[in-house]
Amino acid sequence: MVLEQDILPYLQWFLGSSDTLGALPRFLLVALGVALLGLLGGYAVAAARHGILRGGDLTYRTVSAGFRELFEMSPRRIGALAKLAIKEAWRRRVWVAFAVFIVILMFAGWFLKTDHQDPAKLYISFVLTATTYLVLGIALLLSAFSLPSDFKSKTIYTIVTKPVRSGEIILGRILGFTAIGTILLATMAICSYVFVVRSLDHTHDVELSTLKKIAGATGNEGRTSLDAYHRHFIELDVEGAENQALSNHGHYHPISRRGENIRVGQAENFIRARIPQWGTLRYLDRQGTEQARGISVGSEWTYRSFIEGRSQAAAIWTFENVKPPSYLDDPDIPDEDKGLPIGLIVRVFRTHKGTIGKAIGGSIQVRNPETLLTSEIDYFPAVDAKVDEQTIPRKLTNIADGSEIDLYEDVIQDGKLEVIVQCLEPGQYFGFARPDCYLRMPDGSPILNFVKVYLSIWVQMVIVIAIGVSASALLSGPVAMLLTVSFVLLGFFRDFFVGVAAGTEYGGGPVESLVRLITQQNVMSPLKAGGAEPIVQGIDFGLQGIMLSVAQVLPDFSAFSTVSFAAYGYEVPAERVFQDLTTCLAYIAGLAVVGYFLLRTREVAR
Amino acid sequence: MTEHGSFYRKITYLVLIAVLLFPISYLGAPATNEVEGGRLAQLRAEHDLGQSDLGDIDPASETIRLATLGLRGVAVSMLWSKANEYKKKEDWTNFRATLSQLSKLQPYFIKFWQYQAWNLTYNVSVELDDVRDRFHYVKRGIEFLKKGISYNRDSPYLLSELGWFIGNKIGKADEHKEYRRLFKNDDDFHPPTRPPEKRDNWLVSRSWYETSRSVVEKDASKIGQKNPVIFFSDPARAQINYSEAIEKEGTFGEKARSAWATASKMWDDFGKLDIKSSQGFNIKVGTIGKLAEETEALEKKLAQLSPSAIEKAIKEKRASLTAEEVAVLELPEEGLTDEQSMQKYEAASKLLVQPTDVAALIARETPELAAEARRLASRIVSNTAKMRLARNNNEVVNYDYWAIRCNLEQTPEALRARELAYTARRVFKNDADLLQARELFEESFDEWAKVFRDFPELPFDSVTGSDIMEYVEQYATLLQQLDLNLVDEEVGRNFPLWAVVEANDMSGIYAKAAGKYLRNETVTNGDESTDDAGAQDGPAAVDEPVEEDALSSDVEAAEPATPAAANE
Repeated sequence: MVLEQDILPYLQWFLGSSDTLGALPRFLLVALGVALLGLLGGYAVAAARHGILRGGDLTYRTVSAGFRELFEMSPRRIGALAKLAIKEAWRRRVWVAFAVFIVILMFAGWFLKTDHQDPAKLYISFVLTATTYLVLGIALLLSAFSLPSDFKSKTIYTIVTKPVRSGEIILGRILGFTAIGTILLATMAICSYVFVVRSLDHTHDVELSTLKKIAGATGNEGRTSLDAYHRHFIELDVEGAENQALSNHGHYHPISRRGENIRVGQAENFIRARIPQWGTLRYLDRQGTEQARGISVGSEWTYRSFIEGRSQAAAIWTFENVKPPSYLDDPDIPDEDKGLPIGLIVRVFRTHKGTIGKAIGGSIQVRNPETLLTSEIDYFPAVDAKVDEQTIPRKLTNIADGSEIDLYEDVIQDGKLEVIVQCLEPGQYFGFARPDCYLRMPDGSPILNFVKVYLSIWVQMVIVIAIGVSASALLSGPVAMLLTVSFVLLGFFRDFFVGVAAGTEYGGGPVESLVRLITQQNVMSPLKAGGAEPIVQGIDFGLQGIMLSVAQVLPDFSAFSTVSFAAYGYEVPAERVFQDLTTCLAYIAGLAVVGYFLLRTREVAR
Repeated sequence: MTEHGSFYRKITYLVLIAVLLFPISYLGAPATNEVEGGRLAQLRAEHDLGQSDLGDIDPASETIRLATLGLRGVAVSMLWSKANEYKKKEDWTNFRATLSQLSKLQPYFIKFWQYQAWNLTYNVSVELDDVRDRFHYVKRGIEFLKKGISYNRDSPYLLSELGWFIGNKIGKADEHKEYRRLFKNDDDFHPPTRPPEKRDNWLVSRSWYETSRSVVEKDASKIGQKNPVIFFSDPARAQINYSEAIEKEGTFGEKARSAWATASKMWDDFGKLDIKSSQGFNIKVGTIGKLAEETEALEKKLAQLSPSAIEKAIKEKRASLTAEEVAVLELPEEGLTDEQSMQKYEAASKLLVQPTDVAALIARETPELAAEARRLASRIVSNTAKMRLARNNNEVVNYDYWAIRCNLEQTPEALRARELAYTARRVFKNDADLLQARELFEESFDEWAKVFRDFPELPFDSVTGSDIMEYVEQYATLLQQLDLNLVDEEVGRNFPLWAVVEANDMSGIYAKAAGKYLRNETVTNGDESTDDAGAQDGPAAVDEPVEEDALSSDVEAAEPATPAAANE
């Protein structure tokens, strides 16, 4: 699982910490800034049209009316308006989006095949991405054209002549479109899940001619038939092991045997929802000195950093709130089954070939962070770039004196535990990022995980609806759509946008980039504009300031996506879901207020 | 006129439209089974540009290209960018899925298939650690190329690339042992009609090269910018590689001999093949000797026409030199400045007598022989140009070496030598039987010595030499475990391949010993009484003294013995 941005605990994210600004203070600051700007802008327009004093009076009355209306809003009226929006959306054939989705699923087979090493990842990310784009598209069309078409067809008069408030119209629309979008999304979610499960569903036959005795052990080994572009090796009648088609292409099959009749069951473990408990990671360099990061091996992608083999270099994870299993004191369960399950992803980097076909060896140790009591080295062959599910045994050996130690009593202290991983071979390296080692909790429900991912798509949809409805309160349909599309696009490329605004991207600001593009100058050399460089850069300075301001309210759509969690087979953390929902709520609140004031500028809504 | 203006205008338009229909019909009429269609349809058929001429027509590809509504370029750019991003972030599943989408959008873009197949087979595969995972992606690249070929079945570029991937990536990578084994055992990769003995990567590679070659044989223009000499040598090289590979894996005897015999025949056929050179005429890389003989005969004929013509031509040339040029020609080589050297070279060049100069002189002096002299001179010039090109291309593929190699590897001595070395290594590594391994190595070296005597034209510093050097290094390791050294008197004096060692010892650790034993052998062979041990123990000296002389004499010529060294 690649997790390029850390997920902070909810409260820390919400309120902030000593070195980061929390979501709430940030929201309040942005809201204050937008409010002040709105107030000044509104007053400037009013003063220009009605004079300084009258303009001030109008501004005051509009703002105070707005506050009053805030407390006078009726859920019943909002509900009625939302119902109206649902009806309108249905009339505008919103179900066409669902039909398109079904067509996409029907023809997805042209582009998707199960001939990948991890087909579930591909199928899941495909359906979730397709759903995201489709739902965002439909949310955009619904929200941006709704109010303008009402204005155009004058049906808005039938609403505003009723005792409803502008805020209720905006909120009603947002909620109505959200409701219809939710139904659409839920239907798509069910279809997607069925599509993924059905597409991946397969079984095999045992190729009886391949069955032979396992050398030096009991039981037989062989292979299955080729189905869905892959085979499995099988092991039958091995003492102490279940009959199964061994894991390949991200799944395995149970095998039932009745005499000569061998039957391979359905694929299992294709779709998973692993629940990891992540810790914090620090590195030791080859001299054993602590470092924030390991060595770079020259990879352009700097997600992982590396530790050198057969040296003091190590990756050390510290886990907190480590709890022993509930069955720790159950005498019927042997100590061997009471270990601590962990997941480890190792990225191997070889500076020489080593022994071809032989995995690079690594070691795992556990350490008490307080007493530094450390276990004996446990050797493991590195499985490159795959999740290696291991268990740290309960009974360990103390590396200092060879005495037996208990993982839960001696090593874990106050719920804290350190896991030390090293590479054992000289000239070879192991690469790690923080999420590459975690404590394995029992798997969650894949269906529930699917729902969580859809919830993140839902959040994006609601934000697009809120932007669209608010923009359409003032602008015409096409212009509102363009504005919303711009927000969505910039939101998907927010990092780049912020980079241009902050001047950290190559090629300068927007005008400089345009000049470079037209004059075919590369982005690295200083700008040549025939002496007009200061003017170009001066304009850019102003534009970059505006861009930075816009960036403060720009939703980060790429960060909302939790598709990769489901695709990699990990549960979306609850913290992440709550953070997204809170952000969504903030956008609805903020945009509803903006929408309200924009609607108030229209003659009809006064 | 004004009243009917609108009517007349419409009539004019209709007439113009009707007139335009003729050129449109002439150019664009579609072809049917009976009618060959308009000019464009004819051109399409002539140059195999119809979609069905290129390869399979994929409805999915057609649909998706239409569905982009003219924004195919934008979609392609975005997908390429996405593919790069996935590759950077090591997301191989999505990387492959993106390539699959791209292949639907640009199925006839040959470079796309080449580039991305290379990416999968060479770049992605090495990112993985497990050799089976690596092989998985090597295979994915190969399958990707095959898919490209299904759209572009007559592209020698893709067909050759496929031959290269299957041959060189599987057969020459560091993991070639594992790859070759996995390739052979991969029931799902090979078509059911391919028998197990044909599942060798080099044989499969050879068949793809041959398919590629047959495409070019049908339409020479399809070769494009490829070097024709390398292109046509590929099938034979694959067969050579196959023969080498099976021997390295322990297959000897008739199977190996037959493999080398096939390679020899293929290489010979390649040498006789007419290949169009960059200068427009055909050359044969394997027949330089014949051409040289023919040219020599022509030169003789030209000289016979007027025996004194060449001398006269030289005199004329010399007479045409300026006094300054004559002076610079007479200067000794030593102590010349750069400018003087250049002047001397230019003056010397002016003295070179070309066949055309001789022909011109004959024509002037004996006009009745002019036609014959010009004809001969023209053929000599043409032959010389052909020889030069053929020699250059001969060197490009190292034709002469491989021709000798294919012949010598078929000999019982070479087959036995390789088998002995292979067995020696196994006995050494697996059984740790040092004495037997040593014996086997030494027998193998004796056989190699015979091979070198039978093929004196084989250079010591060739690939064969470095192959043997590998055996020698293993032998040296073995000796170390017996507390011996290759340079020790008792070992070195009996070792028959010092000349090979001297030519291939890159580290230079045997340079002194090689010199010593080679010189001793020379002395010993010349005068047995001076060194009894050498005369008795040296296998070549004992078994076949005459050939040994021949072998030694080469080395002697390269490094003359000194009296001091002979006395050692």
